[in-house]
Amino acid sequence: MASGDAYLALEGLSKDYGVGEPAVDRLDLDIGRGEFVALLGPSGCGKTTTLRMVAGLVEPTGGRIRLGGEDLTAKSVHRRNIGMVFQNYALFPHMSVADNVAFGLEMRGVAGSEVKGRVAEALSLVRLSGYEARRPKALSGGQQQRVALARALVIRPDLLLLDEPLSNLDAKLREEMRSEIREIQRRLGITTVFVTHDQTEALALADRIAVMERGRLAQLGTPEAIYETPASPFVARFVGRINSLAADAGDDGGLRIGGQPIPVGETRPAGTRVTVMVRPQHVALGPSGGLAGRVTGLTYVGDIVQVAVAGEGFAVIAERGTADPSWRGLGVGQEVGVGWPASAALVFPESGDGR
Amino acid sequence: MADDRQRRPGLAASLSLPAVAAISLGFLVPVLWLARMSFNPVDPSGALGEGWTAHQYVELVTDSFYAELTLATFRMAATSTFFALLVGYPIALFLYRLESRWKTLLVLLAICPLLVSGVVRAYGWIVILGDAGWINSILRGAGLIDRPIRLVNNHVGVTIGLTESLLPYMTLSLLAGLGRLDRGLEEAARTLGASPLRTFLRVTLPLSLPAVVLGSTICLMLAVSAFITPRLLGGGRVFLLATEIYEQALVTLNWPLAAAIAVCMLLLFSLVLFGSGRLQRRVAE
Repeated sequence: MASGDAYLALEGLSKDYGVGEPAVDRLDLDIGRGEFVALLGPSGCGKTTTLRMVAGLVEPTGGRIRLGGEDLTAKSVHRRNIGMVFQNYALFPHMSVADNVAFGLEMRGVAGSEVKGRVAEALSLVRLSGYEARRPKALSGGQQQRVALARALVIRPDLLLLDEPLSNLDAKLREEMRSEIREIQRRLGITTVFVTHDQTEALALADRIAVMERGRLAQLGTPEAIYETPASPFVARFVGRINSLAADAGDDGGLRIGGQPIPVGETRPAGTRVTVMVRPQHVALGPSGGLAGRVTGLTYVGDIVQVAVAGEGFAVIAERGTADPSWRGLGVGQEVGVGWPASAALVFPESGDGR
Repeated sequence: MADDRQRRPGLAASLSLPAVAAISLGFLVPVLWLARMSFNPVDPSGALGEGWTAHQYVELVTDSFYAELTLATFRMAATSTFFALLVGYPIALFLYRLESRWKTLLVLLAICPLLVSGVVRAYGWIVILGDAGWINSILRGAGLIDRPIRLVNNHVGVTIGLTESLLPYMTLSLLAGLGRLDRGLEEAARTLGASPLRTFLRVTLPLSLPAVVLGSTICLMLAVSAFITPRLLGGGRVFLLATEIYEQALVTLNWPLAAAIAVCMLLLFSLVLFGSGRLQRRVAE
């Protein structure tokens, strides 16, 4: 995206705590108006620090933050008009639900009569009408989450920030809140940045995902792009499961594993060592043909079954939906031929860690 | 765990036996003894008489001197508690928020005055506050005053000394009570548009009120019962309940009256504790 139509623009944003590597290292990121962007990465990749710098809670050591053309970098937190939902919700325990939601309006000097209406509106948006007088303590985790969301939205922020908003909920509730957040975000058209370490969450929610690695942007793209054409082995491994195979190029430039040719849509100069990555669901197992291997294990996990296959110079995992009966004939020790569509293979320079 | 504790109340009770025994022998029995003595008559000769009389209590209630003494004591205690709170609150908040490897050391530093005897600290204050003390010397050296300002042997000196002696207790109680304060709450208030001052007034302060009530209660009681500081820094010119008990017990040798004052103080303490408990429940809401 050209920086001309960026709504939120991070320009060379850095945070260096002075010990070890910088937490965020010259990060450039453009986010369009109304977009829902996920900052995805393992813990310590700088995603939360980035979010907190946008909110104004952490002071950057370099770079700039622009929102709607305005430079926010030097603006204090309370003047930024940014709604934030904290990981532990951070609801004020000494105030009722209504007072929690009204807090931001009160700070903005909104008239009392209007406050009431807007609080009611925000609570109905998160389906919590009737809970006005409760204390946060008396609510379930999911309800607290909704109050936090209402509190952040009622101020009509220019930007909504979500810090691991679903990580404290159990699996079922998480899925429910996920679609609810997505629904509300779409309806209000509010530009949203959310931080998560959960790739499923990022894939399901975001318009675009920014994968971060050690303070830097590893890849920015749509969920499909991130999953199907990852820019690096790091992104490929972090987003979804993937097989990683060491291969080298033969005299004709075709890639081989243990001397056997493998299906890959590209060539490399003879002798080049590469890492070939294939998603488990693309790995095909046949009675013969392709790479010769032997089944070393079967793991049944309900909706899918994982078949581990090892042969000379490789070990892969193939995944089959359990609705597809073809795996039922497989047993440990059985000889199989391993293959995949050439278009499904990702080739990277040798990653060095041998996996 | 919690279930276990509920199912076996006998265990908890038996574990607390040593403490119960120590408190009974070391505190309850002497207090009951004291209470009994406060009803003993005093012979005209000044000797401790046999039997029962309410004479001491009648004297305490009818003589306006004791009402004034009680008021003066509580005024002094409240003033020094207030100043200790004023000084201790920022210290406790700073220490609570500190994320540094020096934190433990600084907390120790805040409470290390407790390692020095109250007598020594009082004499220390005399050296600083006296007519020829540091403060007066500096002020005189700077040409700001001609005659020394009286900072000891009066209420000012006692207030300063008491405030200082209460400070470690105040800081510790506040520090212990600040646990409910989550840094994220202040951050949430800031993102919602609250300036640092409004964040403090609307979030930090209300959430630290239980700690304030706790610390103030402890300090108020310590200040009311303080003896060494008023005695040494008051120079015999500041009269409070604790010094009066000492006067009656060791100078006038009227033990029953001293005992009656002590019993009254105990009753006042119970009232303070009761009030503080109710207040604490209210602010914790």
